[in-house]
Amino acid sequence: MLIPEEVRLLDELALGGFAPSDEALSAGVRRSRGRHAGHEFYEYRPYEAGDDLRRIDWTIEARLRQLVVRVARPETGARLHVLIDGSGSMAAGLPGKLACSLRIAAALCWVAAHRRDATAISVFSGSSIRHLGSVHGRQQAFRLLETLASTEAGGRSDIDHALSTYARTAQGRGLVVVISDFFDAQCRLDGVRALLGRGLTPALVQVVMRDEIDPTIAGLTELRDIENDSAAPLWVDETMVRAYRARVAGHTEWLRTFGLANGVPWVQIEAAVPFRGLLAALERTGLFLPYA
Amino acid sequence: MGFKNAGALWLLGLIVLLLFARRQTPAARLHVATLHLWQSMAPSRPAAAFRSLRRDPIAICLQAAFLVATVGALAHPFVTPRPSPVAIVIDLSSSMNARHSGVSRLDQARAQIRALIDGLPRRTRVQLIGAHTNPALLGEFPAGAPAVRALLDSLRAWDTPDDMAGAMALARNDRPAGIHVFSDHQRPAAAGTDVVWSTVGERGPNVAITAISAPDPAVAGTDRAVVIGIRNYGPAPVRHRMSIDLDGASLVTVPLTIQPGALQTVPVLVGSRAGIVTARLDMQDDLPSDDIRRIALAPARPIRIRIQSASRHLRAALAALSATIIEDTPQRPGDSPPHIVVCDGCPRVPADESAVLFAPVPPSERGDLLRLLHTGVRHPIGELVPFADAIVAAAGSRGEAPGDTVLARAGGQPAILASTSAGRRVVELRFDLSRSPLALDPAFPVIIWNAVQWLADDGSADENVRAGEPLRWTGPAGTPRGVGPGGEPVATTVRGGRTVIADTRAAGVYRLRIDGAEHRLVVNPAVDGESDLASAPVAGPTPSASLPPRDSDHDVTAWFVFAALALLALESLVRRGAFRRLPVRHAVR
Repeated sequence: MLIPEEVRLLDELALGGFAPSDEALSAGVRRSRGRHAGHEFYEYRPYEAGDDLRRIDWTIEARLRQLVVRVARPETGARLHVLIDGSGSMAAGLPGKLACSLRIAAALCWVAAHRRDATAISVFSGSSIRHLGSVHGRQQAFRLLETLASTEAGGRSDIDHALSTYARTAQGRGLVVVISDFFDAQCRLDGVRALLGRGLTPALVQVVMRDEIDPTIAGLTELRDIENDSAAPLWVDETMVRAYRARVAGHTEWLRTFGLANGVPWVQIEAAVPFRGLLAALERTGLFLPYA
Repeated sequence: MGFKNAGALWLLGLIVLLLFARRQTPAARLHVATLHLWQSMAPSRPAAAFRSLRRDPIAICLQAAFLVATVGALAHPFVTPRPSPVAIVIDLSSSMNARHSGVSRLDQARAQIRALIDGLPRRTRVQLIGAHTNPALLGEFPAGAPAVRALLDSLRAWDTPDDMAGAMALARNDRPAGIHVFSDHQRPAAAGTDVVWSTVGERGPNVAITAISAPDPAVAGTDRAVVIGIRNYGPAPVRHRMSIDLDGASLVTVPLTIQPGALQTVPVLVGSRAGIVTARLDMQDDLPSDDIRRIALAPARPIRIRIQSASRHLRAALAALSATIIEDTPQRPGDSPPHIVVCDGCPRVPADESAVLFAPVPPSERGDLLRLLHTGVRHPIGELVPFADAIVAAAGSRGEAPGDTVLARAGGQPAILASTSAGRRVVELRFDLSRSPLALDPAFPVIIWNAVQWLADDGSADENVRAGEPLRWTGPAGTPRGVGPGGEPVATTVRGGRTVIADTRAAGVYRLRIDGAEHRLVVNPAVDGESDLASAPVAGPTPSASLPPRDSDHDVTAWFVFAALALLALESLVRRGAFRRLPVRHAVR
């Protein structure tokens, strides 16, 4: 799922977006903006420019004349939870929204593995949640990426139910990245509120198609629900596009406002965006931080 | 509304093609994840709901309306202002049955009315009013409707007199543009300037049986006489034969020779049996309906007359009557009451009697001799009385009371009066009987005989009913069923213990069937003013010159063109979404 060029780009990043309490539990594999450090020794690693000078082990420097820093291990598992919307609506587009979502998940998974953060990836569709696996290290990451590649979209969307279920069953704290198009008609983001109530730190990644934001309608067009073909179709023409754009803009604004009000990072990514653009969008949200 | 080029209306079939042409198929079909966002716009945009259909009904309706307006304009539509109604009064009285050279006066009236209607604008409302005893609106139609001609063809003249004044009053109810009267009578002076009077028919000879009566009361075993009056209305003497039968059995045939304008009275003995006596002239004249007349003879029944007091002449006249029983003795307890009480020279009319022949106390001095003049009032007492030479001696001056019918006057004062009040009948001879030459005149016993008959009539049957007048019969209560002269059922009503047949426009024998019993009643044709064909009609011109001017048609093609252009503009706006965009702009803001 990731080509070497993309891996090289990811190697320069670290996960961000953890809540302060979570960052305290995470060791210095990531470039932390705070001064929090772990208490349990995990390993030594060579000193790199920018490392906290207080973490340099001067004993070793005295013995070996090498600058190494002590890497602490969190006392409890600080995890990255990646929840991918696998409903039928994610299959729309070419390349599809699901493919884009999987690449985002793969990127998050790789960076987390590279920085030795535990990662759990799940795919939800309707009310069911399928746990693809947990990653703790690069070797496990390779296997999980293979599993991700075989994921297919299907079923009806029920984001709130899926996230609420996940909030009840998830263990520990951590960052929960929800990747979806958030076009579920019944979605009121109650599931995200459940994650917040559970103490998790949700982040919303909305993957959309260009045609969903700015549709191109020429003449009378029959619209059908991608998840429910038996539903009554709707007949539209070009005269309705303008109103639709305004309606979608309202929907997007609703998501953004929710994120601001609840401290939940939100980003909208077009499915066809190049990988660099994808990473840039995630960096703007704070999910990725440059590791330098 | 009419169309000068109605053939263009066939182009309206293009609307069907329009409906097919508007059937739309989608240019594309997309599966989207945001269908609910598309659908959420529908409540704020009514046009969106229509988009879920395969067609835009607003545009289709506008296009269809445009097509209709365009085709309508091509057909050159016009409207004709609603004209005022025209009332046509047609005389349906007995004289309209008169035929001249095989054509009846009614046929002549029909032809003139058809010519009149043909000249009217087709949408002119025509009111057809039949004028007989009871004028009635026969129907109201557009002049172009076939129904008005069918109604004309179905009309018949009855045996009644006419009531032209009533018919014209009825015609004026709807304020018509004009009243056209078709009658065989001359235009009356009071007809009014809005009436166009057309006289039909020609002068012609006619002999009619004008009266028939049975003056003798029915007495068992005694022959009854039927008196028949025949008048010759023609200008020349006629010789005819008249046959009389009783219930179809021929009684006698009488040869007649009647001078011009003369009334000949023929008495015929018909026996003592009850039944219907029919007098029939065996001739062919212009008006056959008055050549036959009937009378229903009641079963024999003597008339009991109790004389309280009577002068010599009156007593002699009463004694000469047959079928009467004269009782001079005072009434004893237990005796049945007499039919008539005679009180000649009484100070006042006896109060308790149901029928009184009364003459007041004569004056002590001889009064002036005065000529007795018939007032012209139709009354059984005055029938067949030759008043011409009657002289009476005046007996004071006293006017008539309310309810009195004055049959004859002498010196301007009432001389013979009749009154009916609450079933009580009184005949008053208000002259000096002992000193009047009338007492020795042949007219006197006729008057007395008529008075006795009228007083003794208990109303069980009306013997002399003219067509158009109601038939009344008094008898046992029951469920009556009336049958007309032609065997057709007729409506009956029961009022005050009497059975009444109101519709007697046709002369003949009416049958009243009550609980298995059948009673026959006679209606005779009207003759007064109807049988005189020699004096009345002078045919006038067809009144086409007085027709209301034909209303001009207004061409409304320009209005249709304007409507078509307006619809085209509106449809264009709708197709461009001019009305649908408004709420969208509002949503964006």
